[in-house]
Amino acid sequence: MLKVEGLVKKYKDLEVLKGISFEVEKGSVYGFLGRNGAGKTTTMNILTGLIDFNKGNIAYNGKDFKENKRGILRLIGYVPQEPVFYGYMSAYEYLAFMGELSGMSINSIRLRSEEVLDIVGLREAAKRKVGGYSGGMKQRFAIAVSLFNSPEMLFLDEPTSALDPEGRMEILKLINDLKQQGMTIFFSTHILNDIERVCNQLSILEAGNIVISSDLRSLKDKYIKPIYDIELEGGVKELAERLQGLPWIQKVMIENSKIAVYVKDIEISKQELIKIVAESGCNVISFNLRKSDLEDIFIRLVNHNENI
Amino acid sequence: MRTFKAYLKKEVLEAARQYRYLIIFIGVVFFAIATPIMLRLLPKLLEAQMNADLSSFFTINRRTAIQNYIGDLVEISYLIIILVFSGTLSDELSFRKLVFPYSKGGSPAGMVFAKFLHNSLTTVLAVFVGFAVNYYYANIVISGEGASINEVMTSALLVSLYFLFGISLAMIFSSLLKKGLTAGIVTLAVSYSMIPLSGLGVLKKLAPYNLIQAANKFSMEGTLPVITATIIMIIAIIALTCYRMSRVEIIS
Ligand SMILES: Nc1ncnc2c1ncn2[C@@H]1O[C@H](COP(=O)(O)OP(=O)(O)O)[C@@H](O)[C@H]1O
Ligand SMILES: [Mg+2]
Repeated sequence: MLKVEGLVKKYKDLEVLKGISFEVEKGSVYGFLGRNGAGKTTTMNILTGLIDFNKGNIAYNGKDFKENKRGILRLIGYVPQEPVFYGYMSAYEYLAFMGELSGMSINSIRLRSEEVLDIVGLREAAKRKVGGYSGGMKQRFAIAVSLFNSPEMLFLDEPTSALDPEGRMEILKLINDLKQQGMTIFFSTHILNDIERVCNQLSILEAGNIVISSDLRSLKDKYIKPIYDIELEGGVKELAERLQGLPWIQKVMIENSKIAVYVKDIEISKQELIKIVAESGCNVISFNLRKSDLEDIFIRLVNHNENI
Repeated sequence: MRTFKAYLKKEVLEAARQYRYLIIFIGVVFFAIATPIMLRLLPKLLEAQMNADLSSFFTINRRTAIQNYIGDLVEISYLIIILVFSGTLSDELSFRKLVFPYSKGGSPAGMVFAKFLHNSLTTVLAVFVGFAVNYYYANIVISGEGASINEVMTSALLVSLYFLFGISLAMIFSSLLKKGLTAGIVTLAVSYSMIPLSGLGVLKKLAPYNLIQAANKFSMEGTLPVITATIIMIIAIIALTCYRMSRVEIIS
């Protein structure tokens, strides 16, 4: 549905996007994961036609984005990171403004207003001035606005970052509902947990480069290298040093009395690790196999990407 | 056209809710009433102070009353109007209000035209009302030679066109500068610095400020070049503003 190839964005000498490529399939929820300053918002702004780019190709349903910009923009919705409205308008008035801008009739504006306000649960507040809304309400209203002309694809830029846990869950539920209805969603965040909850595909963006694009399941299959957590009474350093040199161990991390052992070969480690620990003569408090989650994958990819 | 209509309505709502109509009408019509009264009272007050007959120093008739009003319009009302409208694009840009309209495929030119039309109509209406009120009051409060209503409306037209030029200047600076106030100050600085230049050489015929000189004479005579030049400049400035607004990066 959306294909991005070699996208480059520069601000003077600063190359913010260094040639990123990815493809979003119809009906998927695509997670765009990256730390602050990675270039998520910049990508979003390009894909929603707000800013230009220096190099690369964007195709939407096979059509060139630049050449068909106006038409394409009518098919997508954008929820920016910090949505801003005309604060002196009520929700109804703002929706009417956006509806007119999209060429909708007064009647369909009226009907659609009730629909989208229902979806985001703001009907009760619809007559109030938008300027007085709370952060969570603004975020939900932004989703209502972006859904207004029934787009086929939605871009959400960190919709949960500024919200409290309750607000976050509401937004994630909303995304899941939209996914059920077949909406294609491109969703940026720095919160890994959000990705695990709603996305089926993802890219990890780091300093303007995509370090990996994959679907969530195969990413986990491919990159999950089991981790053993071992807690000891003393002798932590010595054991860690012994383990460090072994070929089937990727990495050993020490935290107080705990050692986290990242293993490369699960079969060998199942047999060998416990023996080595036993031989060391340390007092073992616990010995656990932890399946690594997305967070571990992210840390490994972003901080130690020599081991990808 | 969709964007134009949507923004025209939005501008009306915004101007009403943010008391812009009120500010502009007060800023224009207040002097229409106050100037004749001041002109009537000032000599009397001074005479009472100085115990002398000063009537020979003041030649006040209905014509000079209206000319004084034109002076106030250009000096004070113009400033008010420019400052009210100079945030028209910079506020949209710096407060990121255009993210939704632009990302829904809104047309930058449609928005610029809607804003220019709205701000212009508001101003022209205020100026004509101001002149009508001034004409009426000058006739009540002051005696002596007067100007006909036709002459007064001619002046109103010329002053309006000068104001439209200012409004277009405010729009382009508003699209270029981050703050409305800065755009307003730059617009005023440009306008005022054109006043002394407007008497020089070929500018005598073409500079917009000469519209005010003509308004003071209540006559359209010989104004065709300056009217044409001003209209062309306004069109060019608005076209540039459209270009700028279609190029500007909207950062969300
Ligand atoms: N208008 C701009 N001018 C210069 N640099 C910018 C501009 N916008 C963003 N950047 C830089 O681009 C990088 C990526 O920013 P952004 O896309 O906002 O990251 P994210 O949304 O992932 O936090 C940052 O280093 C930021 O400083
Ligand atoms: Mg961002």
